[in-house]
Amino acid sequence: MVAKSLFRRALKERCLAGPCQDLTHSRNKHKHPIPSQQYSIANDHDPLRSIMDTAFRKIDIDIYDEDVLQESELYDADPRDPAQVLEEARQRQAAVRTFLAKSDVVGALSTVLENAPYGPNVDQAKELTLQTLLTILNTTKSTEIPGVIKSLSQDAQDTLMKYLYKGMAMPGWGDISGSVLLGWHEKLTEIAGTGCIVRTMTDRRLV
Amino acid sequence: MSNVLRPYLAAVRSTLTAALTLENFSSQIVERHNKPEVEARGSKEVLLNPLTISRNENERVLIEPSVNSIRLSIKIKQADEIERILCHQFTRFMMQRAESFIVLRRKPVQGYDISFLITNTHSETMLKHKIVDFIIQFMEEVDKEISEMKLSLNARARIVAESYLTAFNA
Amino acid sequence: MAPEVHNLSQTPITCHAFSPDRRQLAISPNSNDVQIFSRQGPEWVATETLSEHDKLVTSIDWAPNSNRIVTASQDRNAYVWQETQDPETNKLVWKPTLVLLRINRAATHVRWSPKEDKFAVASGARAIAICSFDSENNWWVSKLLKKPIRSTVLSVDWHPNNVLLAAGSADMKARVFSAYIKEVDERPAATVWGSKLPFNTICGEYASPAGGWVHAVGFSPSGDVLAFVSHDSSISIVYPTGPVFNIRISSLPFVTLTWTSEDSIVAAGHDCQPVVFSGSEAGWQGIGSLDHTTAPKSAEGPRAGYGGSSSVGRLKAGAFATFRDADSRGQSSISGSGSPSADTKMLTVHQNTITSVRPYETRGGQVTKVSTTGVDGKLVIWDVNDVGTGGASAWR
Repeated sequence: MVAKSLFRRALKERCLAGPCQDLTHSRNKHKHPIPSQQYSIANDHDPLRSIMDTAFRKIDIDIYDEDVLQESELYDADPRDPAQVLEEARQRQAAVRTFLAKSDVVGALSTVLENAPYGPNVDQAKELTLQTLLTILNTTKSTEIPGVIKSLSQDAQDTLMKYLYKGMAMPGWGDISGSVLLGWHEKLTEIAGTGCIVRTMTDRRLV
Repeated sequence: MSNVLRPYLAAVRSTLTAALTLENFSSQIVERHNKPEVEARGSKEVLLNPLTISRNENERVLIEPSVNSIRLSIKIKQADEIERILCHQFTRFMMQRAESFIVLRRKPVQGYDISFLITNTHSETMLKHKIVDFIIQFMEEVDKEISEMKLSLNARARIVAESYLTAFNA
Repeated sequence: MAPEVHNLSQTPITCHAFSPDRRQLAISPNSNDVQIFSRQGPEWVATETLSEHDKLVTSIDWAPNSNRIVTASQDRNAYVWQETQDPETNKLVWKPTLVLLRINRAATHVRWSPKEDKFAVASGARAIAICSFDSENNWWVSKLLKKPIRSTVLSVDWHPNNVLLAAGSADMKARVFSAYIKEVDERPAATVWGSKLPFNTICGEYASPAGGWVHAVGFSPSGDVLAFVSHDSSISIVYPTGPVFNIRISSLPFVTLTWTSEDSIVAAGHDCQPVVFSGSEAGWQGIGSLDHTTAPKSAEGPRAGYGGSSSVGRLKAGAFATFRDADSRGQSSISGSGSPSADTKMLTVHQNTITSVRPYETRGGQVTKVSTTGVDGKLVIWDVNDVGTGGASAWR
């Protein structure tokens, strides 16, 4: 028993200490990163215990390889402070209202799609932006959509596509209407092309 | 076909076309292996953002793209208990014969009724736009199939009830 | 002039390389072998098979001056093939030489350096092996470029000065490295990329605009400009001391590119047609496609009602029209017999993704023809000056 707990601790330390070069790089040579003699100890006891002891096999040792890309390294983080982002989202919401009052859909859309919040810790700002965007989308007549999309910048078109997919991923939230989003999606794909969808897939700066 | 179905299928079609940009990609985790990254999920950078296309809460498609494979899952419309049973039986029937459908996955992704796994080998041996056509056609057919089955089930129930009740008529 | 089309194989062609005289062609038919084709009249005839690899051959390069072939494969190996006389039969046969790559994952891409005394092998081991010949042992030895690569390297390209190397990788970056090897290279002259260049110096690092894997990189003929295509459907042109141009395209991503002159690039990929970009330090833009097959057809019939945005080509054709008919006119032909499936042929010359584009003919320092091979097993030779303007609006 003593030997086993010692080994466990050793393994834990090794894995958590950071890069464990030999474990990760020679993965094929040693399929099981455990010496055979320890293995036999685990099997001496009742079957239940030996099942429990296999938990270490599930440890993902690859994430301790220093070369591996982590989630946070896939994109450049937003330099803005979460509170500031939220404040900006609020200001944009107000600005959009004035644009909509003048029935300037293009102005409203460009405003809301500019500097859209992305990354972690800004969920509130993201929701606010989505809500603001939905009011615009829902109030625009379907015959006006192509004209509106054409006058948006490429950046705004790409961001709009991200929001359309975000909206479709949460049906029933707020005043999301599937048919409205699908209508916009169709027009946007016609104008901005499939490249726009590809960019929504590749861009890790999730809105 | 209803007016809402067309943009839905068009959205699935364009998203699937965009996702089916696969290449042969050897695993960077295990040497000399080549596995669908969307299933192995070994390295984050070769997985792309999953996209959902939905008509409403009950009908949606999830597309999970990666460098050498994509996973497409469909939630089929189930309005009532009968449709639910029929859908379950229907998808189970197909998934038990997954190997004859080539791109079908044996188990659906959680929250969905049926899943497809398309790898770079599929897009190399088959025409890409025909794979897209196949999926779209499947989505169309499955709704139709289930409502037809429901109709014939109802019809049969009616006949059974009728012939049962004629016994009391005499 | 119509492009020359050759159907070489039923299987996808992973990569291709021409012999210096363009009479021979090496391809990998998506298998462990390399096939050599010889030109006999208008036809290409398979003459030889080089089989030494035991996994998919990913890349081939044929050295124009020394007539050697280097191949890379997912089995983690590379071989240099040299034509030698067989003492028994007196025939010329290709003999492989071992390369000590020291990588433990797939080799993904290989290119000879301009002087042909080195070659670079990109790999999934998050490293690039720079190989040079060790005459004492009669094998090729390698030195690894490792930092700061974080994912599979998908492509490499040499600078004309034989020292700098560009690499594109799945960590969404294109980088310029120094691959200076003391025993082989003379001290290089200063370039726009830097002046002091010990091995593994990073001379530049450029991220793809929207997080796509960098599929292909290429130095301009002078070596002063770098272009790369990434999976976020974009092509970027980098002036190291000046601006970085970024063109987002509205169709599917490119996977391969080649410079045809100092001011123009041909890129191709999942959209199945080669597209020409041109520009200078003042700005870059898409000119049009080399594939004219789509242009005339797009003008007629069902397309007309759709405002002529030719960007999503296939989307508008065939099955799309079926859905539209089904919706607007209540015609549901898709469940019927075979009428919609008649469109198994696409409008483009290549019927599937183009996997590699390379210069084919050069006149006066300008590439006049390029060759492409694709997943459809076709080899097509295009005249680069024959650009169609039809699709121009698509490559904004």
